[in-house]
Amino acid sequence: MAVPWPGAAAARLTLAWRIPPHDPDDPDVAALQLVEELLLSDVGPLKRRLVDEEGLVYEVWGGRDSFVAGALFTVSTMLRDPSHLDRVEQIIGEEVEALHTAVDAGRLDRARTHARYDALLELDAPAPTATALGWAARRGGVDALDRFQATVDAVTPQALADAVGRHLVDEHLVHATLIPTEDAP
Amino acid sequence: MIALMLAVACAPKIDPGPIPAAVAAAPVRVIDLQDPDSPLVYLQAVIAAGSSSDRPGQEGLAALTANSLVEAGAGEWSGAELRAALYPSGADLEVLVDRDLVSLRLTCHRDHAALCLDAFASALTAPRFDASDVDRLRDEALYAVTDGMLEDIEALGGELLQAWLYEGHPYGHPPSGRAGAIPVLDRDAVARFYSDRYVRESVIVGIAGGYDDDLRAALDARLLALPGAPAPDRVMMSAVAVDGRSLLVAETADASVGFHLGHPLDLDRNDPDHAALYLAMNVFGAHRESHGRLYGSLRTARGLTYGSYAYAEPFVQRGWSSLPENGAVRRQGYFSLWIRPVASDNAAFALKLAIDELEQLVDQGLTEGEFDDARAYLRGWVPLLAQDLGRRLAFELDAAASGTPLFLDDLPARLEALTREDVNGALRRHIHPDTLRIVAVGGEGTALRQRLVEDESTPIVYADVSPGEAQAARDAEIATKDLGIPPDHARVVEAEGIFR
Repeated sequence: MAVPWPGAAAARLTLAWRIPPHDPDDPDVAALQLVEELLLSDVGPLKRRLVDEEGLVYEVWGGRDSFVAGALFTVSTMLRDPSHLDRVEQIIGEEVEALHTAVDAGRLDRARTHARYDALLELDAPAPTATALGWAARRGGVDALDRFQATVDAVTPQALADAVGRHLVDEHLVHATLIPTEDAP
Repeated sequence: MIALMLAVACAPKIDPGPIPAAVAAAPVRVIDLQDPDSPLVYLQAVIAAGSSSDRPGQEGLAALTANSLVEAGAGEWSGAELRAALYPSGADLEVLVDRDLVSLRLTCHRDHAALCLDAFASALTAPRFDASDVDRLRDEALYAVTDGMLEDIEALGGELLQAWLYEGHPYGHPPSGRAGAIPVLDRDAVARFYSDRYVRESVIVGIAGGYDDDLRAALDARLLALPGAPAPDRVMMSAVAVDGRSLLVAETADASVGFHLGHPLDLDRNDPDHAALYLAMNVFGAHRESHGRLYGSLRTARGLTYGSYAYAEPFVQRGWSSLPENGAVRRQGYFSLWIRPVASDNAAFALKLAIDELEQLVDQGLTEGEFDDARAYLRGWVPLLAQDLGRRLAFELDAAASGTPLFLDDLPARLEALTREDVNGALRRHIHPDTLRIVAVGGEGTALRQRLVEDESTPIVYADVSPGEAQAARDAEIATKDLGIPPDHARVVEAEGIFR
């Protein structure tokens, strides 16, 4: 899908894969949560390569939706120059492909620890705590928070690679660009 | 003007002489909010080194310096290494740059308190300013004030209003800088700015939550690395006096038009009238709430726009919430009214209606019912501003840095002593509908200028609905309302490149 855009704007590229809806007990969902950490965190390879090393994009973001009726895993970028579109897509493809092979166990543990503390830091006030409980209630009950954490804790490097091989594949991929142009409607 | 800017930028420094012994020995001021039961530790600093510290020709340097604290290496870490070190803790260093203040914040679980203290103190007292990271951040700042600003006409309008109200003033450029100045900024300029501005007298640090005495002592020790030097003078001048109404249309490719209008306001949180105006603006245009008069008139009754709001002090929204961000208190303020984008056909009508509402507010004041309701609302709302210790600490730092009372405690106390007459009197003393600078951002600028300045009638266009009799009668009056903008006080400019 390509969207021409009138006026000044940075070009955007989003890759989106259809993935299973959120289920606190589904090992593939937990693995994809960790894929979000591994690919898209501040210390992940996409920020390092696209932002820091090659300076191709201003920003890269995305991750796993936690919707209960169908979900997407997205990688979105805001490009410095639309002519770099192919290179940006190539790098994203390389890093997703790399996750088809089992990752280092230490790296996976750091991702797991980050996910846990990131969630804990959100629970420092009544409003976000209530939001988290409401989220859990819609996804299997209040104990869904703990159940999902247990499922995440059980993900092994090979299970993660297998989940990537099942879900982050071309048959599930949608590719969207937004390119600024004078000829846009 | 250019010669003046160069003269100021290149003026030789006058040797200030030796640093007074008392200043050299004084520690950084630290505010404590210890709670042994809290699992979290909040570390925050405010530094009097916001964008009003930028010298002419170096607009953007304060923000580039602040962002480099957390992105361009600190202590033993490169920028990437610092992120990697913090990563397992789930904590992120956060920076906010406003006109007067820079805020540096880090929240972490007490399991990682020592690591977080090291990261926080290193960023504040031992930044590395690695050149490749500084260059990347400079490019991002350039994008932010050029195409990035054009992507968000509402942010552009807000910055344009401030640039116009504070023309030739230290507040007169976006914190990110000017596109003509940013490219000349480099690592050396950043390092010099840091060396001059990040001294103990300019910094206030806060710590809250479940920390122990050892961590608290370690914080004091790390802060001694900041130079014990006097805070540099911060230039300030009066805002330009606003006379009558004037219009600036910034033309974009958008199909809609957003408005920001206002005037300088010589009043801060110390002023006895501050609480009165705060309450009045809650009635008139509470931010992102549906009970304000503006919201009711423009959105609820007529569907002209998603919302319209008004402010008695500078306002920065906290993330995606509707609450105010901390670190945005200023030495000088302004009144503003915001109309979110309106379809071009109805833009002139919407502006006339909003200004008519403002005139009525000042002329007739609040009703007793509105006054009572707003006071009750604010009694319940203020405690929601600081639901966690970190946010309470941020308000404490705002108060300390600005020399104003603690908003969380002071506003409720002042509200109890207010009367409706106090509020209506404050409106008449401070809000001046006849002296407004009006910024419009959107498409078809020349046609919009004509409708606002020259056309006798600009009726509302309803989509598939008909107003009741009373509303139709008022609409007819509003359509022919004269905004009183002299033609020579109305101009159209291209939005592209406006913050050169």
